[in-house]
Amino acid sequence: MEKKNVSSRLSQYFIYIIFVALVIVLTILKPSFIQPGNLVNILKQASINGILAFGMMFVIIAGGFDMSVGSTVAFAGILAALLGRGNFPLIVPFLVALLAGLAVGILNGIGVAVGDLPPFIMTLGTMTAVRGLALLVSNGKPVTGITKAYRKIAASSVAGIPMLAIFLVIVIIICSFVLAKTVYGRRVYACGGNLQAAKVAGINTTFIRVSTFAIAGLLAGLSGFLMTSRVTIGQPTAAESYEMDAITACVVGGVSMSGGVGHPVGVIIGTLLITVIANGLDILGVSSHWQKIVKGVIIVVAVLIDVKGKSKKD
Amino acid sequence: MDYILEMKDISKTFPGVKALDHVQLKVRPGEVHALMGENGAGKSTLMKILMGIYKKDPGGEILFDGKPYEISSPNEALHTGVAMIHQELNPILDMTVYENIFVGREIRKHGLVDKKAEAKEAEALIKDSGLRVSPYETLRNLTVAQCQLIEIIKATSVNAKVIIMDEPTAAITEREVDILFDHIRKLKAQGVAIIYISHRMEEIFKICDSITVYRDGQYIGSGAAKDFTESSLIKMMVGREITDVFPKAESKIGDVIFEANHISRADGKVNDVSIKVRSGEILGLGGLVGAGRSELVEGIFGMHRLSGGEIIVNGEHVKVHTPADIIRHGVALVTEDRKATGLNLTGTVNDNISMVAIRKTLQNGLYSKAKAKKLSSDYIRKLKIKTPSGDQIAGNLSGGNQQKVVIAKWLLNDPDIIIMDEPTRGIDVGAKRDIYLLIGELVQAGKAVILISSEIPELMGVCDRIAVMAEGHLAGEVQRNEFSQERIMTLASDIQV
Repeated sequence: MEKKNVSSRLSQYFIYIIFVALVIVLTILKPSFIQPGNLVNILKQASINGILAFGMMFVIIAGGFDMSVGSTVAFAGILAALLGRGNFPLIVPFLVALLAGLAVGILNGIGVAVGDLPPFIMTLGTMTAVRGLALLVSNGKPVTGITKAYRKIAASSVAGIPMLAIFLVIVIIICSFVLAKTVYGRRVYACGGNLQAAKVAGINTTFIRVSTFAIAGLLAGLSGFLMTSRVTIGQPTAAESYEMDAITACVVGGVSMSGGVGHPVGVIIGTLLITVIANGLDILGVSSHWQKIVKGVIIVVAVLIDVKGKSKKD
Repeated sequence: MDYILEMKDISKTFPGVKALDHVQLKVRPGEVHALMGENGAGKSTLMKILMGIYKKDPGGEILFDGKPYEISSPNEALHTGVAMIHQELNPILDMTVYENIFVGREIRKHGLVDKKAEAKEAEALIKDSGLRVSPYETLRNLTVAQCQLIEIIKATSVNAKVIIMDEPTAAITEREVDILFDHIRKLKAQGVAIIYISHRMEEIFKICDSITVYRDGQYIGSGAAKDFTESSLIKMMVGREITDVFPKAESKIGDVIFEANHISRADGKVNDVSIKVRSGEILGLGGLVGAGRSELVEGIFGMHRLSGGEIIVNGEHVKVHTPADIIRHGVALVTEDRKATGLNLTGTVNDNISMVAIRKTLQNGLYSKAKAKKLSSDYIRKLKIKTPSGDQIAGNLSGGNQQKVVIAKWLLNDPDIIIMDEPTRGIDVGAKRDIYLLIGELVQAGKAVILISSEIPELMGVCDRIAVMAEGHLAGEVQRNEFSQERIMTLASDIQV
């Protein structure tokens, strides 16, 4: 009895333990890691992945899966770049990027919830097609010449905190609130926990599922807008495999791929963990090839511990 | 107004099948109304129409409280006052008890979920029901029976006027059945009508006021429960007379061919249990749900680690690490949960039947579809499996026929010892009888059968000897000439007399 509790506790907090341990080790190895300058850097690096991860969290908790967010980021980013070259007020590229993301998300949701397609297939389709759309709109070339005001969004900071991180924090606060406190949030968990049961309980499961994809799309649109500001050009090939980082952040943060389980705090830690690994190994001078290996191992181990913890409870 | 619910001339056609043909149902407020019929009779389809999951064919009408009842989703049905407890339980395992109770109708405060209010109300409802769990407990940590009661609490707390209960007692213990029946009586007193679907005859006569019988999508008849007898009811359901519910074949009992001595499981669910069975003998394993019967046979079968004990098959000691070890020695286990561990639901009947004895289907070392088809068609005939063909997807068959496919799968492997864990749960009278007859044929052929059942009359009717388990150990053994319900119940409750 005692032993069971300890091991299931351990699996619950495993990711936090790993995170803290990693920070301590990196600080010992390289004291510059903990310098404010580097921490700000980490926040900045974590922002876009964090925003995407929070969108992904809704989809996965509701029992879905979205492969298309990386392409959507690129597509929204291109549109924002095209409209952000001084020809329109900045609000126009902002809204267009959001709407473009939202449209892709709704399309995904309809394919999955109405068309009954497996999320993997539907979003694999949109991932490919939307990437094509980004290339088509940009003619396959980077879109340059965005205004200074637009560039400033990602470059500026408020009281030492980068704007990008502020966007992330706003997203985190809204998403956490929606998931934890609202009826809608509760129903997202219900759909992912047992779709049939949710339907039988009178929940409009089609709406819930479509809306989670819409949220992921919307946040991908926002990320696209921010990305273009950050790299100062619209790249049709940008954000390749960002969906994988978002999924990794969720899974490592304890969001169950079978749906119904997951907490925002875990996703925050998951996002930071990925960024800290990349950043830490960078400043240690470890090659990016190694970073991939470490990331891969962490994904598998995190889920393994999660699965073992669960089966012990049964 | 006499009836709370009237369904008149309801028909439902699926591609190629007429599932319901001008069927009737009339339910009075405050009564428990049993829907009886074999699997495939159309009870579930009728209830799904009532819940708005299926749409009825044009024509016919439904009146609820005297008014036309037109709904197109479970949500609308709930709001009109019709709730259903499904046969396939639908708990959301990763949610807490109170979240499950209020799923889909969350209590709100300023537009947000009022968790405190939900937990508080859930606690009151749980207390009312006699269940002892915390509203904050996650369903994953509860037993099947507890989950079922939560489901019932959920359905009864929506203030429904009609509650459909589809096999509500299929997975719960006697004591919990009593709690459920108390619940039902309370609901009746409040004027709530219950539509009750069960294959357990004793329950029908214990709790129901009226009965409506269906067969093959047709309405057969309806009346007060007291005007029926068990045999008249079975006759209406099956369409023919069944004289003995438990046919018992004479067989010659020979030597011990299977022994499991001092079996203990590493997880402590079974402690020092010894059983043996002779050729030609049917050994029953009785006990309450959770007594460790399934755990024992699953342990013997290599599905869980044993911490001690020896297994002797046909005089030979068998070291069992995985099921393959003991299957090789001629032991078969028809598992309790045919959907989870018995069938490949998306595979065809042929695929399923040839799953264990796949070697028999080989031709020149390769899988021969034609051979598999031939072997499986033998068993489809022998076991009277109702299926359009061997190429039918197993998941599309009725429960009784699925069960027969599982049995066929094992018989094809020609085992000497067949262990069956609740083989008749949730299947209809006709299919049950087929299975009893089959068990009889098996022992007549010199095989040994170990039968686990929670229905004591079934054990007493079929077995030569009953071993009773309680809380993971063997409480005692009863010979056929000493069979009595009291004796078995006493052992099962582990009261020393």
